[in-house]
This record gives sequence, structure tokens and C-alpha cells, in this order.
Amino acid sequence: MVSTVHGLFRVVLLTPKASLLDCRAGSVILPAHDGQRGILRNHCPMLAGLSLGILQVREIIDRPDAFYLLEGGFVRVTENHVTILAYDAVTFEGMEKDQIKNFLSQAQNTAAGQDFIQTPLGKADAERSRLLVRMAGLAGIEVEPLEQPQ
Amino acid sequence: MANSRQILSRRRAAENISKVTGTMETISAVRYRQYYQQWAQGLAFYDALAQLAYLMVTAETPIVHPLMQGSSSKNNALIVIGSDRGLCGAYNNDLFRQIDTHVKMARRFGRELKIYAKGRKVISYMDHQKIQPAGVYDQFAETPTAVQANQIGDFFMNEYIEGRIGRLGIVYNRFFSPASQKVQTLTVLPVSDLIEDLTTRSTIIWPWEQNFEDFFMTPSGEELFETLARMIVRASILGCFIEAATSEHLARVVNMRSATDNADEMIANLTKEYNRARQGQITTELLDIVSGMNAMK
Repeated sequence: MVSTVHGLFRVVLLTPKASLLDCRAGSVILPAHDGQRGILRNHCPMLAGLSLGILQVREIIDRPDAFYLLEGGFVRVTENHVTILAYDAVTFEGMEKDQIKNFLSQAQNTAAGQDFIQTPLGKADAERSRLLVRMAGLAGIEVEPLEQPQ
Repeated sequence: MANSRQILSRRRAAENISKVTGTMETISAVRYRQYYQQWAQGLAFYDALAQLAYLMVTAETPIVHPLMQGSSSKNNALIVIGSDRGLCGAYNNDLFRQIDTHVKMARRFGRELKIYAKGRKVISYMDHQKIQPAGVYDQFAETPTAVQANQIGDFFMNEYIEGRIGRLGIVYNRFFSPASQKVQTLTVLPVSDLIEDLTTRSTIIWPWEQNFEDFFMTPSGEELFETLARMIVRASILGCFIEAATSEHLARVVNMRSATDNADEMIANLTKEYNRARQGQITTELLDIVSGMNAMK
């Protein structure tokens, strides 16, 4: 049950190698196994499987919104605590500008050539790249258009 | 007494040893700090995983899943995580003792043991014992990436579900704290044993009032348990590799520090011996000069 009263709740993002986020936020959009799922304060207790997609954490106290590319995992919502367990998460936070630019240009190239990719692994890579470019857009990072071949 | 030139050459050798061991200590200390940070930050993840597992295992209607049930297969699989390099004290020797125990137990109970080895030291020990490894993990240096760990986990879960293995254990140096590391075998499959281990080591088991039936679940409970069981196995395999690497570098730091201290002590003793020998040489030369002068009078 989602309350209409707006408020904050605790969000924790954990992976086996790092605790990536621990904050109080106003809303969370999760890449659940069956599509995107929004969480607000006073959400009912929930257990859900996650799939490849973008996690959006909005209205965080004292910092800008956070975006992560998750590779599947699990979410537990209990008493205004959202705990997200993921195998791995990619974020642009803490990256240098040049690093982001290179990263995105690679992702754009992979995503642009997805029609020619036949293997399942290749298709997953292309999907991940497409999501990375989308995540950059959500995070307000300028994405340069691809150079057209002469 | 050795002459001063011999003492000097021994001191130079000790100085070189001190430099090498000191450098190795520094390198391992840096890597240890990196792995320790990963281990410490990962604790919250394993705690949360244990809480979820506890929640599902305590459901009023028990969840039946092939990964939870025992298997009738007579084959056991064992992943042994050792080091590529030596100079880390008894780190590998304790692992070898565990391998011997598993081999003896498998023989006694008429089971076939498939050993999957990580680390050159483990492979060479198995060669020496004439044990053929069923697989070798050489595609990564110390710890696998999340994708590689998932592949390892998926391989063993499929083997277990299809009845080709009855148990999976990981032999590794468990990192309890910077003051305590111990070689142990963690049973990964069946998952029920692993859940028991996870919940035992977890700091808080379940701090909430809700139970399994209070949760809205998507997908269904059975499908969620499948996802969770796979996550527990995959994450535990990755966790074991991280703990083993942390313990290895800590063992090397401790051993290299003591080797550096010993070399420094040897340098100090040799310096004293060299000075004494030099003093003796000067005294002898002075006596020669004085006695020569006396003879000339």
C-alpha cells in the first residue's frame, strides 16, 4: 500500500564487494523482474526479484539523485527500509569526466551495432550499453552524438 | 673467527634479503588493505542475505526446492583455494592437510572426490600426491569478477540438480578478523547447510516483526527462493575467494615482517662481528708495528 503522504525512507544498496549507498530518500524506481516498480514511504512489505536495469534513487537528503545499472538481484522492503542486494552495480559517481566520455562512447558504439549481434552474450552486452546511455541521460550527463562514418 | 671480507659479504646478503622481504611486505600490505575493505564492506551484504534466507526458511509452509534437498549421488566436489606464490608461512600447508582429510574420508565412505583447484601451490601439491584435478581456475588472478563467480556457481548448481554431484565444499582460509584466520571447509550444496552457516555468522538474524507470510512477493515464493538460493551460492563462492585472498595477503604480511625483522637482527649482529674483527685486525697490525720498532732499538 502506497501512502499519499510524502516522506523519506532508508535505502541501502549492497553488493558482495561494497556497500554502495546508504541514505534517506523520497522515492526509488527499481528494475523488477516484470518491469519498473516505484517505491514511496510506507510501502507494504515486499520481496522482489530484480533483473538487468536502472535503479533510480530520487530526492536524497544532502546529495543529488543516484542512478545505478544493476545486473539482477533482490529487493526487500520492510518498515520503510529498502534493502537492495545486487551482484554488481555500475555508476558514474566518482568517475572522471574523460573516463565517463570514453565509457559512454564505447557503450554507444556497442548499442549502435546491436542489429548485427547474433550471440546471446553479445545481445546482453548491447542491452547493457543501451541502458548505460539511458542512465547517462537520466543523470544529466551530456552524451555526444556518434560520429557518422564518411 | 671469520675474516672481515667474509662477514661483509654475509651482511650484504642479509641486506638484500631484508630489502626483498620488506618490499614483499609492502606490496602484500597494500593488497591486504584493498581486500580487507572489500571483505568489510561485503559483510552487510551477507548479513542481508542471511536475513532473507532466514525469512524464507522459517516460512509456515516449507519451500521445497531441489537445491535444499539432499542428493543420492556418490560424487563429492571440492573447490580448494590456495595461493600462486609461497612465502606465506603455513597458509598452504593447512589447506593440504584438509585435502588429505577429504581424500581419506571419500575413500572410507566409497565416494568419488572431484577437486577443482585454484592456485599453483595447490596444483603442484596435487601433482605430487598424484591426484588429478577435475578443473583448474586459472582465468583470474586472485578473485573472480561477479560474472566469473556466477559462472562457477551455476556450473555446480546444475551439476547438483542433475545428480552428478551430491555435495559441494570449499576449502579455504576463512578470514574471521585480522587476528583470526583458519582453514575450513564450507559446505555450499545442499544450500540448507550454507544457510545455516550464513545465519550463524550473521550479526543480526531478523530484527523485524514481519514474517514470510506478511510479504507481497513477486514472482511467487518458490521462484523467489530459486533466485535467492542461486544468489546465496554465487555470492558465497565470490566471498570465499575474497576471504582467501585477504587471509593470504595478511599471512604474507606477517611472515615477511618477521623475515625482515630477522634479517635486520642478523645485519646488526654481523655489523658487530665485523667491527670486532676489524678492531682485532687493527690491534694485530699495531702490535706488529710496535714489536718491529722494539726490535729496531
